[in-house]
Amino acid sequence: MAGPSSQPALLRASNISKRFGITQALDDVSVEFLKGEVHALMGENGAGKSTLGKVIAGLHKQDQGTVVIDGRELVPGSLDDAFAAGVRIVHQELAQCPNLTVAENLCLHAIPTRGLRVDFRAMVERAARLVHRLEPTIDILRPLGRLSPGHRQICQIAAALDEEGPHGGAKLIVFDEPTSSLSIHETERLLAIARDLAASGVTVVYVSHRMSEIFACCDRVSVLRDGKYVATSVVAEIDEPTLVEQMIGRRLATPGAKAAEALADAAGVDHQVRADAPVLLRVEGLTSPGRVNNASLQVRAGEIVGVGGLVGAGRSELLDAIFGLDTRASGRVEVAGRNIGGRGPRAAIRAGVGYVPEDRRQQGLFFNLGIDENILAPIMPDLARAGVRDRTAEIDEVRSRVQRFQIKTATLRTTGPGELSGGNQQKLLIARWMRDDTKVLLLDEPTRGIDIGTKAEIYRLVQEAAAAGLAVLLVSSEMPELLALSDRILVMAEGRIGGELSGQDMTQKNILTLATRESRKKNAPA
Amino acid sequence: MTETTANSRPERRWLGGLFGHQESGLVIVILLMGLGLTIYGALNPIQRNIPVVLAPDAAIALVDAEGATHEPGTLSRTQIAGFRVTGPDGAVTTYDAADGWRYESARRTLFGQRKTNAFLNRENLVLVAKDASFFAIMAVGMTAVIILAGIDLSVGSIYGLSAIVGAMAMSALPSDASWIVSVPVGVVVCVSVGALCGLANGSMTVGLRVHPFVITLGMMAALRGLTIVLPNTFFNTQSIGGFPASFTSGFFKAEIFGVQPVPVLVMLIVAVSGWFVLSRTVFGRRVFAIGGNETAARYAGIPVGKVKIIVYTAMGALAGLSACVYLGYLGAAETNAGQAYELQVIAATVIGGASLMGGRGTALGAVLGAIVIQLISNAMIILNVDPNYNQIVMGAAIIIAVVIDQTKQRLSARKG
Repeated sequence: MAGPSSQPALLRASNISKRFGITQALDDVSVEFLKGEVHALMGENGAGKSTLGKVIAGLHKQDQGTVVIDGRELVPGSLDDAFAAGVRIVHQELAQCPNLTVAENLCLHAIPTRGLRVDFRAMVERAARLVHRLEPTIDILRPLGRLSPGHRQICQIAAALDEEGPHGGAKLIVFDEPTSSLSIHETERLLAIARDLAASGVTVVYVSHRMSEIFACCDRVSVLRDGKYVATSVVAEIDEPTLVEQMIGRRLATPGAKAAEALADAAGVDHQVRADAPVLLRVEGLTSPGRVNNASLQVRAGEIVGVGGLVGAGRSELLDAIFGLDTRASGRVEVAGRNIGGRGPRAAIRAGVGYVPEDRRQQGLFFNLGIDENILAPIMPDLARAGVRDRTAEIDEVRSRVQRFQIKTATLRTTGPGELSGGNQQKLLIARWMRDDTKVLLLDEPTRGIDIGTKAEIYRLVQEAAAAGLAVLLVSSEMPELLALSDRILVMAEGRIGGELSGQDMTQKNILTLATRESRKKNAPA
Repeated sequence: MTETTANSRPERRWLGGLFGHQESGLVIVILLMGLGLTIYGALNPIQRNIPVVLAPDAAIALVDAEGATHEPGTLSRTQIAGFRVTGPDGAVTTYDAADGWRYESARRTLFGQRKTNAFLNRENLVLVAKDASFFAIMAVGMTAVIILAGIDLSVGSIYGLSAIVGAMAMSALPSDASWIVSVPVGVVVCVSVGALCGLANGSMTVGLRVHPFVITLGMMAALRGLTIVLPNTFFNTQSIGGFPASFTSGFFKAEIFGVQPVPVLVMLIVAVSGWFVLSRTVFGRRVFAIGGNETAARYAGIPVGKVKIIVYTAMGALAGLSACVYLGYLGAAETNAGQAYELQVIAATVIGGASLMGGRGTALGAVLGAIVIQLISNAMIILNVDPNYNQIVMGAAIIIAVVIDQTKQRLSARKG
């Protein structure tokens, strides 16, 4: 794992500067990448790590600076030139056609033909050669959209490894936040692939802010902060608190602890659940065919109940059913003693339930509307008189929430959520539901894709909400976060609540055991 | 991300106020087109027949080639070089016989032709405004539909059916019915028929979960068929007329100061109401929210289905209202009324800045878009272009408008 720092660099990015509008995304950054290493680029969101990855791969054109590979200077902003030189990028927004098969997707740039006809056999052979060395279980004749996110990611990597171009195959691959939509197992598989690639001599540039992944698979790590280069270290010689300190520029309160726990502690809001606190959310026998199976739970005022489990275990589906979005769900959902089961989201909102869904871009935000209307969406009728908006009341309400939740926005009306950082978008969505009469808060992956600084703020907001007497039901795939925030943890597997953990039993191992138990039982007789 | 304050980019706000909105761009386009047509119209004036009725106490004299005046009836037509009219206030106006003026003493009227700007004259402008009104009223509704990321292809057929049913109701009224009866009956019948059709569109789209393109395409054909069948069955005719005068010249074609302003007034009322509903009411903002992100709207507790049904119903009602104005203005309805209007209405909406992807559009833009379209048709007439080219130009205008709009969006997105 030790970085062979004596060896010459494969790719050298020198004095890179890049500006987007008013934001200086990169400011005179220089980094060297060695042959055959996994090199992490770390930093908070907006630190410039993704931008640097994209500049190297030719997706962005830098304002200043050069990228040199094997002594050859790349044409700035030319994806084709970078590709020809063996620099590839794998990132989520890269075009894929979900309706086409894996094989067609892999050969899209040069579909093999025989005369005028597509040579399907050559296409399948080529695709199989590329994909199966990474993951033999992928059916390359399936439409790409029907694969799991992990397998889709692997197909992208396979496409990036394509051995075409005048200078031979891939020499350096940029992974841009590759695991943000992957489950634990898929992530492990991806990390193994990254190691294999490095072992075969390909340099992997690993853009991520997930601490555990850096320590699991990277040789060296370069940290950026506010567009500036901070330091490059050999991973084996650095510890987590030091890395976090480099990223956020200040030392955390409790060195040595898991970053998330430290952050949750640093948030410093104490909340204690009194045994006689009223049950604000009671769910009994909630069932939705194929999604949620006979789920029962209760959350008291001031309590944070975590929901753990693997991706696809039905956690988001449980929250959807509680909120009334799942029209096929049956069962009792009581909020402060009132049954709202089967009456739809408006009944839930009226009863005081707030729901911050998993995917803030798809399920949460209105990108054609301003910050004000995004916050007010559920309560606009309450502020209106006979359906006509009261703009003064609206803007007062928005201003107070923006201040209370410290949402950094240029303006309240003309700024859209697209101009906010991920963390501020998430704060906006939490602010949307925090009315005086909110009793239950459902949170689904509230810190996904958010930088560490804002994470601490979100933790503080969640804890404050509980301290203020709300019942919080928290779904999270980040174990440290789940363990640090929850008073109790329910573990789901295949739509069923498989078990409950509290006190000393709340450990990562126990959660994983419960999360995987159900499927094992099922597979056992076969 | 650095923290920014509200006044950190004043220049963008200032420029945005001037050019940022689709509306201001359209106003500029309309003014430029008007200017161009005015200049062309001045260089190529048209002859217009104008009767000049003499006031009872005005005196008229015939003028011969030498300039001497004579009593009317004393000169033969070839000897008359002109006419001199002396008004009761002593003002003298001369009309040159060489310009085609002649005098009918029995009617005390001078008939002649006057050269006038082919575009910038009262009759032409009123014509453009009136024709634009029919489309603009529907375009306001279409804007709401398109903001929802929907589409309504059946507007032309709804318009036709409302007109026919409205005409059947009108012709059933006694011809001397008062406007207090005829106008409400006409409006209620047309708007109800339209609203029912829209309700059907909305309910089917929401209830059957079928894309509105398919539903309204089917409705376009079905309603047109109904429009043809109804008068054939009950009246055995393709055209229904014979309305109470109070409904036509008494109201919708009422003349005030020499123009017939009612269609334009109805359009203005609809436009202002549309603007108010879309931007100042909870309902309007819900339309935008659903068009921007339907999933997020569901998660925010917005009754998506209900809002959609109301919007399609309103669209139908507005098509009915437009049909009612048309009925009153023309005094008859034919089974092909509103044929291919969906093209004009959708074009007006899109030129007016509504995005077919949903989430964006304004009522005012729709009205301006309708005016642009009508100006294009009018320009074809004034420029003496074969009217068959009209469709080609219209098609090109739609594409150009959308391309310009998208380029603008991309540029402003990059700036932000």
